[in-house]
Order: sequence, then C-alpha cells, then structure tokens
Amino acid sequence: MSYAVIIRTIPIVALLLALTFPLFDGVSVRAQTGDATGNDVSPGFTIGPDQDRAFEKRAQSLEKQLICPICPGETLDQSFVQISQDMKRILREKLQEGQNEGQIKEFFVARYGTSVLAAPPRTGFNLVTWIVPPIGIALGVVVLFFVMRQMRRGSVNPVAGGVVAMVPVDSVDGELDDYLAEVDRDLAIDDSLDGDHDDDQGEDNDRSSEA
Amino acid sequence: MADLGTMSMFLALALAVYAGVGSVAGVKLGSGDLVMSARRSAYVAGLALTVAVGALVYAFVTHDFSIEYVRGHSDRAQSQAFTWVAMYAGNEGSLLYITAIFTVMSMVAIYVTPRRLEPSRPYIIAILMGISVFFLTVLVTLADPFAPALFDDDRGIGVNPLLRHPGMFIHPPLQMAGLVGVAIPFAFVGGAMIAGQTRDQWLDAARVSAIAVWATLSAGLLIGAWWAYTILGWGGYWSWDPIENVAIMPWLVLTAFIHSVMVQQRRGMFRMWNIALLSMAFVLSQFGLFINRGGPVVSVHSFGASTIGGVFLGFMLFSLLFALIVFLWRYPMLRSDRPLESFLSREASFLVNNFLFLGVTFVTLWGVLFPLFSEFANNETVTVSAPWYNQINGPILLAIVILMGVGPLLPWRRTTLTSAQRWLSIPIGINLGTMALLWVWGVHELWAIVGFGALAMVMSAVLEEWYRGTMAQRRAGLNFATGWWRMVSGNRPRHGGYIVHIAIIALGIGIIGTNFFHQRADVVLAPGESFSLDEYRVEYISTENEQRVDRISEWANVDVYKDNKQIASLTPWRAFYPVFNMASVRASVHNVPLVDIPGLPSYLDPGLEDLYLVPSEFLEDGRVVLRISINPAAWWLWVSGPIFVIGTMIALWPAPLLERRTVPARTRTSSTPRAASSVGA
Repeated sequence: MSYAVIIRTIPIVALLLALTFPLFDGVSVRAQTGDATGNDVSPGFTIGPDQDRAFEKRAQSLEKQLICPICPGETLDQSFVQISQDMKRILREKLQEGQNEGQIKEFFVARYGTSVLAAPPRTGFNLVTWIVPPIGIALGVVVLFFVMRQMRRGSVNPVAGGVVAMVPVDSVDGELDDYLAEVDRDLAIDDSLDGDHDDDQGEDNDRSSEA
Repeated sequence: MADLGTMSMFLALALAVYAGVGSVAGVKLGSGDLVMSARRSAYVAGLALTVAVGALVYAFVTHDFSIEYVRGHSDRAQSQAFTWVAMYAGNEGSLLYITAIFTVMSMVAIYVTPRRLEPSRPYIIAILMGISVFFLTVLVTLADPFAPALFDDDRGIGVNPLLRHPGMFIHPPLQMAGLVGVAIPFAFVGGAMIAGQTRDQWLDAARVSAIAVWATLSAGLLIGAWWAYTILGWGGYWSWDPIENVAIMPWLVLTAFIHSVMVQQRRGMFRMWNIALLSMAFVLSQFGLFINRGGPVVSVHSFGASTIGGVFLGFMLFSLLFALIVFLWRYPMLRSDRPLESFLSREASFLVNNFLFLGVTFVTLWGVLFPLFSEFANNETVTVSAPWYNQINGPILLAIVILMGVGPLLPWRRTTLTSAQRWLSIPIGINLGTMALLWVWGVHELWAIVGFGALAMVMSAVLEEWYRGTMAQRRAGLNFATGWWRMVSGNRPRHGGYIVHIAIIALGIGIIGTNFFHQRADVVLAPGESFSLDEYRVEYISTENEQRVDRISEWANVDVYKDNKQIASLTPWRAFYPVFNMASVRASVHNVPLVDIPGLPSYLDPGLEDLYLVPSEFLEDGRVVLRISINPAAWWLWVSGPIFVIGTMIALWPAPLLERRTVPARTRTSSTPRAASSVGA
C-alpha cells in the first residue's frame, strides 16, 4: 500500500518541493564544500586579495547576485568592464571587513537602485515576483486534479453535432473493451500504415490483462 | 542588385496577397482554377524571396556599399567567409531572412499537405500567406534592407565583433527558422478548423511539422549555447536573458505538444488541448519576435535600436485573437472520443508532463514581464535574472525529469498498482541507489544528487523498455542488434523519442555539473608565473599579437599541468575592434577526458570536465588578466546535440522507405504484436 502512495505522490512531492524552493535562498549558487585542497600560494591574484577558497566562493556567489549597472542584464561575474571590476573589488573589501551579504547588497542598492540585484528582493511589492509562480502552480495542480477526475468520469457535457459520445468507464466491462479496441483498429486506417497501433494494442492487452 | 532585391520583395508581396485572397475566394466561388493559381503563386512568392536573399548576399559578397544595410554590417577587412552570412547580422536583413525562410518553408508545407487535408489546403495557404504578407509589409515599409546608403563610404562599418564566430553560420539561421516555423503546424490545424475538418485529419501534418520545427529550434538553441560558451568569455552558456527566454518558450510548448499529440493519435483524446497548445506556441513565437525587434526589455542580444517593436506587438495580439476565435468557433466539435480511464496511465502521465512544461513556460513569461509590470505599477526598475529563474524553474525541471523516468513505463489506458509496481520498481530502485552511491562517493550537494538520481531513473526507464522489447524479438529468433533494430523500426516515433530522452540525460548531466561543481578564479599573471586551481596548474608563458586593418588580436601562450604533467598548451585569444570600441574574446577550452580512448581527438573523449581559459585583459606591462574555470561535465552538453538529431531523424524518417529496407510490412505487423504480447505471458 505504501508503494501505491509513493507512485501517486511522486509528481505531487516534486511540486511541493517546487513550492518550498523560494525559501532556500541562493541554494543554487551555494559554494561546493569539501574540495579545499591545499593550494600552494600562487603569485598574482588580483581581484580579491585573499587566497582563501571559502572566501572566494562567497565573493563569487555575490558576483552572481549583482548586475553590472551599465551592461544590459549581465551579472558581475559575466562582465569585464571597468565598473564591474571595481564592484568586484569593493565587494571583496567589504567581505573582508566582515560585512554580510545583506549589508553588501544594501550598499550597492543604495548606490545604483534595486535593479542592481539579479533577483528582486523578497520584500514589499517585489514579493509578488516570488509568490505568483508557486501559487499559480499550486492552483494548477488543483485544476489539473479536477480536470483529470472529470475526464475519468466521462464527459458530462451533452454531445453536440453528431460527435461520438464518451462512454463512462464503469459501464464498460472487459469484453466490450476488447470489442471497442477491435473497432478502433478497423477505423484507424492511417494508424495501420505505421504499425504503431497494432503493436501497442498487443502490449496494452498484455499489460492490463496482468492485473 | 538593390533594384533586383526591391523588385523581388514587391513581387513576393503581390503574389502572397494574391495567393492568400485567391485561395479563399476560389473556394467560395467554387473555382478550382483560382485555387490552383493561388497555390502556384504561393510557390512563386517563395522563389521571389529566395531571389531577394540572393541579391542581398551578392551585395555583401561584392561589397556593394551603396546599400546602407551592407555598409552598416560589413567592411572590406573582414574575412570573405563572413560576408556570405552577414546578411542576417542586423535588423533589416534578418527580417528578410525570416520572411524568405518562412515563405520557403510554407512552400514545402503546402506542397506536401496530405491528400486528406485537401479541403483545408486553401485555408492553410491563406494563413501562411497572411503571415508572409505581414512580414513583407514591414520589410518594404519600415525595414528595407535595400535602402540606399546614407553616406558615400568605401570601407564599410563592419559586422559586430561578437558575430564573427563559426556559430554565425548555423545558429541564427536555425534559430530564426525554428521560431517562425512554429506557424506551420499552427497553420495546418487552423486551416483544418476553418474548413471544418475537425476529426484529426490535420494530426499527421501538424505532428510531423511540429517535430521538425521543434528539432530545428533545439539545434538552434544548443548551438547558440555553445557559441555563448566560447565567445562571451564568462564560461556560461545560458543566462535566462529575455531573448533566450522568448526563444525557449515556444520550444517548451512544442515539447508539450509532441508528447500529448501521441495521446490524440492513439486514443482520440486531448483534441482541444492539442489545438490550444499549438496556438499558444504560435502566439509565443510572435511574442518572441516582438521582444526581439525592439521590445521594451533590456537584453544582450536585441537588435540595437529598432523601432518596429510596436508593429510586432500588434501582430501578436492579432494572432492571439485569431487563434481564440477559430478555437471557440470549433470548440463544440472537438470532444474527446474516450474518457481518461485511470490516473495511473500513460495518458495521465502525459497530462502531468504538459502541465509541468506549461508551468516552466509561464514562470519564464512571468519573469520576462515582471520588470515591466513593476515599472508600471510600482515605479521601480528591477531585474529578474538567473538566480530567480534557477530557483523557481529548477524544481519544475527536476519534476519533469522525474516524470521522464516514470511515464514511459506506464501502459496506455490503465494499470493496477501491483503491475505498476513491477514496472516501476527498477527505475525507482536505480534512482535511490544512484543517490546513495553519490553520497558515499562524497558528493554532498543535495540538489545535484537528486538531479543525478532522476537522470539515472530516466536512463533505466529507457533501458528497461528496450530490454523488454529486444527480448521479445529475441524469442522470435533474432540476435540482440537486429532485435533491437526491429523493435525500433516497429514504432519509430516512440523509440526515436527515447533516444531524445537519452540526449536530455546528457544535457542534464552537463547542466548539473556546470551549475553545482563549477570552479573559477580571475587572476593576473606575469610571464613565467603560474596559478593553481584544484588539480590544475596554469602557467602563463608569453603574449603574441597581430595588427589587422580592423582589429588588434592578442593571444596568450599558456601551459596547463595536472599532477605535474603537462596536459595541454592553450592559446586563449582576445581582439580589440577600434571601430566598435569593443573587444571580443575566444575561450580556449581543453576537455579533460574521463576515459582516455587512444587515437581519438581529445574533444571526442567522454568528458570529465573542461579547463576553460579566457583572457579578459592584456595589460601594457606584459601581464595578463586571466579567467580560469573548471567546468565539470560541460562536454555532455554538446554531445547531446548529435543524439538529439539522431533521435529526431529516427522518429521522422518517412515510414515506407525505412520499412521496405528492414522488414516486409506483412511479416512485421503480424509478428510484432504477438511477440510483444508474449512478454508478459
């Protein structure tokens, strides 16, 4: 029974993960740990006066969260123009001084405006950016569930224009099912051209008969 | 040449108008001759536009600077090869290219329209030619590529330095063809709806053309990513830039369509839904054109200061309205033949697939539009960029991959839990096993582990299907290889699709590797100095340079050591173009192989990681500012391309041709089902 639960819930669990995701700030750019090999000190390190790997990772993570003010849509780590090189240096100095990410971002926002942040802040009006997708997806799951349930029961709408009516599942027993499949096969002239239909029909019967 | 080009454009416009109006009028008046002549003039319109493109290319190759567009986008100094493709380097020329390729694709589509769609053909022609007429009108009124030069100039300005790359020969043509091509499956279905052919007569034509367009888009996107990787100089390949987003949205919707159309083909369900998907893809491609041609969003890729965005916005809204009206008009005739029998069926898994793909699409659309919304409603400029998309879209993409590992194993119609348990236990076991193994091996990045586990599940689902199919053939007395091939040719759309799934696995490995395990350092090195990053030591030897008319090129000679053994000599390159006051870099990439196969060039060895070098600046005292990156699994991104192509070709290859060569049709249809049904027995 627990297995049934797993199968039914896989997509739902995945979607729930989606909903919680905005809580993990910066998880996608978090530095990889556990690779701190003992590097010999090499000469000539410029941007950032410190050789410390963990420090550099923090700095690089910040670079990906800030936009170069003069280049359209490029983050600092993508851009090599003078102003972004300066910003890279400043953010390293501030990290060195012990400021945290939030303070450093605030500093740049005060200078260049909110658009310097690569993702809108999770406050005030901008919270809307973050909230709409999870809510939309949650609503979508609900709608999808009801749509599928209705499709399962067969269409409740009246049949229009001489179109084949939908057959409610419950009224169909196995034998009739096979007969309908036979009819389908005869009607599906085109399907027989690529052999698709026949081939799968065999498999269908096989799999459902296993039940 | 300018005159020939202009004349061809006007001729094409006249022919397209005649073809569109004439084919509908012909049907209404009952005049078969008029319909026929309209169709033929659609063909001639395609030819006329080919001539116009030829005229522009000729003007570029012969440096005809009396044409403003040629003067603005080429010069005498650039290498001759690039003059052949410079025609789509700017707004006007690329619009001409789009118009021409679209009309030529329409020509083919009209020509190969299946016989059962004959009553719809005039309407299909009308829709296609309507779109052509719109493009042509913009061309001749607002963006004439053949307009005379504004100045007397014998040197030319030259092409944007970022476009001087081999990618220029492939990426823009494929990408633009793919984007405008979305209109072709839409035209098939739209034409059929107008003509009242609502019983799936359009299905094959729309499915085949959608897959072809989808494959073109896939190839265009992938080659674009590779181009960005080697030339933009920051070591990435996708940054969720607005232009990238509008290119991927139609692709996502088409991906949903080519999955759910199988349900319609097999089970006669999801009719309305599939039509809605094609309409959405079409409107989104028009949205892409609007953003691309001077839309209100900042991007690295947009076509400079082009003012024709508004016209495209209008056309997009018109397309939306048109699709809606046709859809609502025929809505009552589009019921499903059958109900959904179970939540635990392939039909249901396709529905979830569609839901997730549309989820990514709408998240992406929301991200593109929010800055505008914010500026309008809140009077504040904000940026929505990679960190936001990664966090919101990442999990949905993960859910899609998980579904890829489960969906293909669910049977059509319905199944019971016990039987599902049998089919699904292997992939789920492999998923958990992979995650455990990675953890034990010391990979402790949570999301990377989950992602790799899901990819392993996809692989096992494909292999499980193939194993069962092949074993069934083996019972019929075939060996593994022929058995596998017989199975594949028995249902090529499905197995071609599985090969595409394998391509997605390769792509996924590359994406996870480069995103979670990327390392880099920006360093300044004097000649003779070296820097160590992880296991690699990079030693800067010297700089060389070369002066050309249009640029100053410099490159660094760099030796790379791993475990004190030299593994490569690289020459990352940078050129400065004074006319543009712009520099362009070319990364030097060394693929460090996971397995070194003797005799193969290094770029063909299965890649462990890329050592990626880019010179961001050459200082005057001889030092160099070097970006050193280690991009794990980057090789897998590019290898997915050929796999994509193979899978799509297998799925699309004209059936009779392939089948005649492999198995006589009669033996196949009679033996295959029996063989397949013996699997479960």
